[in-house]
Amino acid sequence: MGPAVNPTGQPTISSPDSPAEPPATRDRAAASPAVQRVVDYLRGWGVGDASARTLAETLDTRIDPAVDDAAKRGTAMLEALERWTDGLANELGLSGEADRVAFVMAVYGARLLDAHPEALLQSADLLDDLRGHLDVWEHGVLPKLEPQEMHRQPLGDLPMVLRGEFWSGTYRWVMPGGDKSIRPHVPESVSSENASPGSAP
Amino acid sequence: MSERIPNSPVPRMLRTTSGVLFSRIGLILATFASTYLASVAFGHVVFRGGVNPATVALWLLFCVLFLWVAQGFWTATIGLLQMLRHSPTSVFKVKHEPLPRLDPEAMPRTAVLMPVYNEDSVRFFAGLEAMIRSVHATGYGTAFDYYVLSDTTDPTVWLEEETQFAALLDQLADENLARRKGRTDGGPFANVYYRRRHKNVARKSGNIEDWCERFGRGYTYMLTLDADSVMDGNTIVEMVHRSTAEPDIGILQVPPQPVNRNSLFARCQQYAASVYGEVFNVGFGAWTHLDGNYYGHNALIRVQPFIDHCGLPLLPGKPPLGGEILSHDFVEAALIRKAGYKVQIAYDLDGSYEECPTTLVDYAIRDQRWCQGNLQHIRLVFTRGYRLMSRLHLGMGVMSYLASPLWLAFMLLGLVAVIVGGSGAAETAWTSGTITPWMIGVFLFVVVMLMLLIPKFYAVCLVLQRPDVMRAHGGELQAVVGAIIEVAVSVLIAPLMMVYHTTFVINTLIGRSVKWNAQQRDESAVGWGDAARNHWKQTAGGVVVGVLIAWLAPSLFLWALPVLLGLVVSIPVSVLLSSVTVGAWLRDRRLLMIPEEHEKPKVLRLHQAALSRTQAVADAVDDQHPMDRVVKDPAFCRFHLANLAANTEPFESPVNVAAAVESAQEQGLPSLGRPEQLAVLSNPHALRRLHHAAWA
Repeated sequence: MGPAVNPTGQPTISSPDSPAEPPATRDRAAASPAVQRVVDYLRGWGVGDASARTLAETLDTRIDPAVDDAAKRGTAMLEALERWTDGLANELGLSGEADRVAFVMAVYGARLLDAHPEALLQSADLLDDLRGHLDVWEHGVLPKLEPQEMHRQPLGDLPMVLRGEFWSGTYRWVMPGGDKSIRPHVPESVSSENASPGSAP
Repeated sequence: MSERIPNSPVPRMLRTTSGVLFSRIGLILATFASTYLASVAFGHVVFRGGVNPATVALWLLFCVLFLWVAQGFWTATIGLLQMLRHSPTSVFKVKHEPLPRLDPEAMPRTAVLMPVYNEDSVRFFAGLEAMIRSVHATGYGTAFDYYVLSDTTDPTVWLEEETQFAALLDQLADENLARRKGRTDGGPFANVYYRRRHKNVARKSGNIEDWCERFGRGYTYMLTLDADSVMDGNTIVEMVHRSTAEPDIGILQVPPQPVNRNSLFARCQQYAASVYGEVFNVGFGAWTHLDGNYYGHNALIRVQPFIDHCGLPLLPGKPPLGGEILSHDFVEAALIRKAGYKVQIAYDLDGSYEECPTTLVDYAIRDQRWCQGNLQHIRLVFTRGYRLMSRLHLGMGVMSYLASPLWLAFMLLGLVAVIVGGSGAAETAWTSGTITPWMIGVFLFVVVMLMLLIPKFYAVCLVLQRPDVMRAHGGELQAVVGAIIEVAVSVLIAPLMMVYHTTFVINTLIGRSVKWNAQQRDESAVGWGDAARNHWKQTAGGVVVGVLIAWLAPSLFLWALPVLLGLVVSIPVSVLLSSVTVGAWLRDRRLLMIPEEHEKPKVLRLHQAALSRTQAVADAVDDQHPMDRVVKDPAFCRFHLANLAANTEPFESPVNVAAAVESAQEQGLPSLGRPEQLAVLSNPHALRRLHHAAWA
C-alpha cells in the first residue's frame, strides 16, 4: 500500500480502516526520535508518561513509513494528532460547534488522553467523557446569543443662545449694512445630525 | 411611585420620598443663602476702592467658588441630619425591611462584567475568583455568569490574561466536576467567559457596548465592574433583589470603598472615604434620591433599557472636547434617566470595594483622564432633553475640575488687586477699631475653611459615637489622630492638585488630547529622582511666586504661605506619601485604619487567598516568556487557539504575517515588535506553524 498523501503533498495519517505497515519494516533509527518528540509533546500538554508513549506509538504506526526524517516524521505525527482532535467535533456530530469542542479539548484534552490512551484506535470511551465535559461547558468559549444593535442616542440641541449660528446671525443683523432679512434663527435639528435612525426619542 | 411605597421592599431610608423635596429645597436655599451672604460680605472687601473689571471678576469668581464649597457643606449637613433623623437609637444603621428572597431558579440572569485593559492579571483574576466564590456561597451562583472583557493591547499582557484565565477554569473545572459527582449542584459552578477585542473602539464604554450587542439579550442585569473592583456576593445578590422589586430602577449604584492599599497616600484616601464618605454619600443620596448618578463601576444595570437608551452620542467637533465621550458613566445615567428609569445610589449597602492610586503622580494621571472626560460634559449640561438633576450631576463633574483653575485665578486676581491698589488697608486693619474690609476678608477665609472642615468634623464625631465603628477605625484617639493626619495631607497636596488640575484643564481646552494608559495599580514607591522629575516645576514655581509676593505684596505673604508651602515641599511630600513603610508603620499603630483592615470582610479574605493562587500561577510560568510559552507549550497554544477561534471580530493589520513568522522562527517571537507579535498571535495558521516548527 502506497503512502497516504494529503492535498498539499505532505505525508499524512492513514485512514483508521487501512492497515498500517508494521513498525518493524520502518527505519527505527528515524522513527524513535520522532516518537520521543511526540511523547515529549504530549507530556508537555499534560498527558502522563505511559499514556503519552502509547499515544505516540499509535500515531507512529499511522504515518507513512517512507517518511524517515525524524523532524518531518515528528511534524507529521503532530499534524495527525491535530487533525484527529479537530475531527472530534465531527465524530460527536457537533461539526457546527467545533469551537466549543476545541475549547473543551484545550481545557480537558490532556486529562482525557491520559485517561484514554487507546483513543486514537478506539475513541468511543473518550467521546463519552468528552460529551460529559461538553454538557458542563455548554457555551464553550463564549455563548452564542442573537446579537442586537445599540444605537447612538441623539445628542440633542443646545438652546438657541448657545449656538454659534445664533450669534453670527445676530451679528449680521445688527451690523450697519448687514442683511436685515436674516433673523437670528437656528433650525432645531442643527445639532441632531448624528442621531442614528431607530434610536430612542 | 408613591403607590408602590407601602409594599416596597427597598429599605426605608432609600425609599423615603417625603424628605426628598425637603432635602432638595433645603439644599438649594441653604446653598444660595449662604452664598448670597458671603458674596455681599465679599463685595464690601473688593469694591471698597471702586468697581472695575478686575474687582467684578474677583467677586464673580468668589461667588462661583463659594457656591461650590457651600453645596458640599450643605450636602454633608443633610447627610448628617438624615442619619440622625432615620435612626434615633443607632444613628447610622439604615432600617432594613427584609426583601422577599427569590428562588435561585427564579433569579433573573445577571452578567458580571469585568473590563480589563493592560492590567496586572494576577490582581485582576484574584478579584474575579473572589467574587465568583462569594456569589456562589450565597446559593445564587447559577444565576450569574462572568465575563472578562479584555481590551488589552499589549500582547504579553494578553497572554498573561489567558494564562490566568486557563488556570481559573482549571481550578473551577476541578471543583465543578467534584460537585457534579457529589450531586450537590445541578449545574456548572460558574460560567466564566473571556472575550478580547482586537481593537478597543471607544474604550471602556465601547467594550461594554460590544458586550451588550453580542450577549446582552441573554441577561436581565449586568453588574459593571472595574479591573480593581471586588464586590461581596451578598451585596450583589441584594442589588439584584432590589432591582427586581423595583422594575423601574435602571441603575443601582453602590459607592465603592477603596481598600487593600498600604502607601501613606492610599491609606489617607481609604480613611477619608471610610470616615467622611458615609456622611457625604447619605447626603448626596438623600437629595438625589432616584435621580442619582452612576460612577462607571460597582453598579447593577438593567440591560435592555441600557441597550435601548444609553448608546452614547457623538459630540460635535474634534477631540479633546468633541468626538467620542470618554467619561461615559454620568452620561449613561443621564440617558437612562431621560428614558424614565431611575438611578439610585444604594449608600446603605457595603461590600463594594475598589483599589485607589497609591502615589500622588498616579492619582494625578488618573485625574488627567477624568478631567478631559468631564470637561466634555460641558456641552451636555446645556443640551435640551436631559433632566435638571442629570444636568446638575454633569455640571458638578465639570466643576470638580474647573474649580482648581478658578481658585488659582481668584488668588492671582486678588494678588494683582492688592499690588495695584496698594495694601494700606490690610496693614492698618487692626488700628481702626471698627469692622474693616480686612476683617471681613479674614472672616470669610475662616468661614470657607470651616465649611471645608466641618463635614469632616461631623464624620469623625459620628464615628466616635458608635463604639464598634470607632474600634474599627483604630480606637478613639486613633480615629481623631487619623483625621488630623488626613487633613494635614489634604492641605499639603491641595495646592499641588490645584496646579495639576489647572494644567489639565488648560491642556484640554487648547486641544491637547489625553492618552488613556492603563492605570498603575501596584504599590511601587516614588524615588527621589522620579519625584524631582515630576514636581520640580511646581517647586520652582512656588519659590518664585513666594519671592515675588514677599517683594511686591508682603502683606499677602502669610495668606499665600499655605499654598506656597504645598508647592515648595511637593518633592519630599510626594516621596513620603508613596511610602509603603510609613503607611505600614501607621497601620501598626492603628492609625488611618479602616474597618476592612480591622476585620477583613469575607470577600476580601477570599481575594487574599485567590491572590496567593494567581501569584503562584504567575510564578510557575515565570521562567519562560509568555510569547515563548504560547509557541512551545502545547496546552497553552491550544488554549490560545481555542479562544482565538471564538473571536468573530476580524483582525486587521498591515503586518506581513509570513515575514513575521519567519522572523519569529529565527529570532523568537519575544524579539519581534508589538504589531508583529499581535499579528502572529491573532492568526491561528501563523501560530500553528510556529508551534509545529518549535516541536520539529
